[in-house]
Amino acid sequence: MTLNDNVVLKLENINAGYGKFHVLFDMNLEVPKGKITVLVGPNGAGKTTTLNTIFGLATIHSGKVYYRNKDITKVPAHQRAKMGMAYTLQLFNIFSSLTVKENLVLATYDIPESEAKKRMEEVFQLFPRLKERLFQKAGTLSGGERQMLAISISLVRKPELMLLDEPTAGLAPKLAKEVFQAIRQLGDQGYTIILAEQNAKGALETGDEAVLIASGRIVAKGKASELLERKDLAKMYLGLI
Amino acid sequence: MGFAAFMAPLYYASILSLLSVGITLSYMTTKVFNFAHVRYATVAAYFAAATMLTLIVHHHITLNAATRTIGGIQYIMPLPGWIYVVGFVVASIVGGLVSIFLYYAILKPLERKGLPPLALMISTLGFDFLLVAFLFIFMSEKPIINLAAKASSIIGTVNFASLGLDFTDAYIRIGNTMVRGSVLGALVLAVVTTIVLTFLTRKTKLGIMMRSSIENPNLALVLGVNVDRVFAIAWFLAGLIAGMAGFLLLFGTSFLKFISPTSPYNSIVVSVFAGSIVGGIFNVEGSIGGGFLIGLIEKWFVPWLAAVLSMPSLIKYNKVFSMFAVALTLLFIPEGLASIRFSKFRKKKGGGEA
Repeated sequence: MTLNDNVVLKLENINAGYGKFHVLFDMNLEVPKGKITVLVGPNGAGKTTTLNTIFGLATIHSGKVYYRNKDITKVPAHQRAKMGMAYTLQLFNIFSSLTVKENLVLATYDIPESEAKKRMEEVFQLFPRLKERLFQKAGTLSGGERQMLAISISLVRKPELMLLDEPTAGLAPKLAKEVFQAIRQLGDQGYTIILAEQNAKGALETGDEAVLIASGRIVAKGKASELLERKDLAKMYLGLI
Repeated sequence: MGFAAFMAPLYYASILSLLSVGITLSYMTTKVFNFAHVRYATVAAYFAAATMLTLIVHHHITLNAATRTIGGIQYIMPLPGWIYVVGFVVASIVGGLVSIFLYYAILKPLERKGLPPLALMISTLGFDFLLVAFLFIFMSEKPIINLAAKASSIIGTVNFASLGLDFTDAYIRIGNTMVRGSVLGALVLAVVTTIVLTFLTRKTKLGIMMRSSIENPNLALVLGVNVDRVFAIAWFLAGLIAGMAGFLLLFGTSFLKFISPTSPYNSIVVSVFAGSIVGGIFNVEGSIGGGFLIGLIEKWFVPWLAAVLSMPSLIKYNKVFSMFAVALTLLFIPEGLASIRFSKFRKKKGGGEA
């Protein structure tokens, strides 16, 4: 299987879930390089399961996952991380008992120290507030700062593909806006991102491509800005109208 | 109290600390109390004893009761040094392998089936029974004693008992006393284990992976850590340390007297769990300290109390004191002694004085 140079990841006829529990049905998806692909949909639609499937944390019943021209359907999760994927989980996405610095050191455990330091400085340019909180226990950070740290943990690994699961969940609108801005900034820097979001409006305004998932099936896909204009979908699935 | 009498509780305390740390390591990684852990020591001791005795028979090794001197220190080493080294290595490796067998062959498959930690814990009890059955079938007392008798027929030309010494343990002179090598070995091993484990968990890449996998396995996994392998290494280390303790237990009272498929489990397992809980079930260094403390309570404090109260029968109930320590810990400091922030306490005290 050879992917188009502009395609980083491809899901082909994926049926997946957890054990015997079936969540995703016949899912086909291509993720373009250097773009932000947004997964939106109602609660329980299968957005997180899609990310889990991509990262090898769900059970694939049938279908294939291709990443950079390789079939990775059976590759274990920890090896996918080493292949250049990063995943910011929705919950428990930081080491709460460790300081901000220790979290970042842990995230770069397999990277030479000098390179790790350089990458941390790059992350601090995006989230300067983290540098101020460097020696603070991660568990004592505010919600927004925690999400910034969670994204930073992925970012310091310089991933070729970043999966973000609801990074604005539970955040105040102002903080959510800040997080979306940071994600847009990453997209502009050329990162390939898959963003699963409950906050459809913010996500669609941030993303380049969009996929609408409902009941484990892809209902619509296209440019994020176009999907935002689709009043029928917005009303039926996203609660925007 | 003579020096030897002073050292004996330290030996027991060191053994407990070595076994307690294994309970903690396995619990921290998989959240499973491993009831088979202490039996690793028995299995390891059997293999070590069988190997050492076979080597003695095979090489026609005779005992050397002569007092020798190295660097001004007098010592007696009845068997050649390499025999002890082989025994120690065999015990350590066997301990580690038994532990990793339990992890991969029993716990992981059950976990994959979605069984809760409680079920896994019960399965460790089942594995413990399995180990006892294995020892009874293949290595029960009779074959070992036969092997020992055969070895004795070759090496037993010196009446060590008349010298007041056990026939295979080494001895080192400290002051006017000949101190058992196993006693010193246990102490040194407890200290070295503490240092090595502290360094390993805090300063090495493996330690970082271990800490991250323990705190948040899912996050560690998405950062590329092979959590399964890291946990397996932790289980291997736990078994390895238990194996070392098993080797030292061989010399505990008298060589081979310890050997029985059910030794030393029945009496020691309660104390080992007590050490792990009192020290801190989530803290490696804490559990070593906890094991040591429980050992001293049972073998030093209780006999002292029995003497003070003129109640010699109190010594028989020393485990009650361990259980009392566990109860107090769970009531007042559930995460064990290691969770106490002594620095905070000192600051408060300092603040009060100011």
